[in-house]
Amino acid sequence: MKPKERSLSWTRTLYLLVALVLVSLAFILLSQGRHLQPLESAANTVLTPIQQAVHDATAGVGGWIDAIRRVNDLQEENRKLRAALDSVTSENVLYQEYQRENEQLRAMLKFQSARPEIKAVLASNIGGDPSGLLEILTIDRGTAAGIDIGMAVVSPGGILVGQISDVKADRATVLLITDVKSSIPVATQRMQVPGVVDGQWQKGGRLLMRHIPRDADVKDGDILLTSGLSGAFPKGIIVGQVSTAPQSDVQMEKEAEAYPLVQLNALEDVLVITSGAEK
Amino acid sequence: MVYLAPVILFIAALVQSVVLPQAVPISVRPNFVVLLVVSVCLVEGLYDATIWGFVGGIMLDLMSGPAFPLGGNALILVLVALLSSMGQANPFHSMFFVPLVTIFGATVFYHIMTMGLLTATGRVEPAFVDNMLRVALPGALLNVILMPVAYSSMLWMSERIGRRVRVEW
Repeated sequence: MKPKERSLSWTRTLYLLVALVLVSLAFILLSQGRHLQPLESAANTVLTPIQQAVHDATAGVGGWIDAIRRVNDLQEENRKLRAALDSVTSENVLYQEYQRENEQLRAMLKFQSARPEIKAVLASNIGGDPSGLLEILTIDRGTAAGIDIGMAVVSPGGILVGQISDVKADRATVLLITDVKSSIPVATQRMQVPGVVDGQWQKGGRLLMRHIPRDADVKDGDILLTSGLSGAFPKGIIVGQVSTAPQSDVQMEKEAEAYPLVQLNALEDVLVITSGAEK
Repeated sequence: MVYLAPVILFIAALVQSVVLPQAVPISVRPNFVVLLVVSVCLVEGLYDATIWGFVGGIMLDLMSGPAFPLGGNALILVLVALLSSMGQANPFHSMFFVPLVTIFGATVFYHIMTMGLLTATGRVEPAFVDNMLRVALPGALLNVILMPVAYSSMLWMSERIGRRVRVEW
């Protein structure tokens, strides 16, 4: 048996190819000028609930893959968690779900109570970057909810997630703190050592604290907080935790590896800080 | 077979934009829409692949959020289809080698074009060298691994509902 093909005329294919290239280019130009916003909003009205449902249904899938990456950290974390959870005998799935929601709302309330000057908008994570080139989230709120480019985004518990990098009427893109384009002025909580935290995801890491003065006291486990120097992020927001203390006696500045305290891609909801950042 | 494109591409785009980013927390991910477009091109021809590329690209654009301009992925995937049509020449008459080389080249091309588009539109400036080494090339190898499945499935579908017909000797 041998496959046999009925070929289509080359002219017809060429016309189609040129037509679709021109249509795509027209879409790009119109989209740049935001002339396609009504069309995109209409499509989003249909797609957002579907994306949200699929996102929620597959929320647990990432856990085991991330566990392979963080096996050393997790072994230690697992030992501590096992000790802490010995007293817990059984919990059903529904109870766990209610508990999770309850904890999230409590954390959100706690964060808002602790920082009353901060005004935030709650948004749901509905996806990421399909190409894998950028470490971003797509959220279901946009300019209609008061969101604008540059605003800080935190987890419901108040841990820094990233910054709004692009926005439309009902959607926005969050550039995560782990993306290489992210750079955040920070200070350690314990000794107030200043530095800058850069994303390292595309380089195979997570976070890197740079520009640490040579004689500064930075240790494993130090919590990193936003310093508020850039004006984009409110002061005192948790960014991450130092995982490897800097070891350099020859250079003027030191670097320390760090990691975010939440699994950024797996967040279901985030808070976009619309006001309260120190300008 | 082109009538199946919206359904299959919708599922592929949904998996690629919603499931994979949270399921695979590392940068190396398969690109299902590119796999489909290249497979369709090699099995059904450039005409069908152009339509699959455009429809798949529009779906990815709509699901990606504001990071990508509408039409961006559509343009790139139409060009991916055009690039993949070179694989149809198949000078070695190989059913195995040509699809693998084609998908590798097409996936790398897709990532380069995406970075170029992001830079040109000023949305986000991607880190070119890091993305090539840690995203594009490993992603292309992953697509090479998945290509035999995608290509065989497309051949199977094509012989039943597509242009390709079996001839009994």
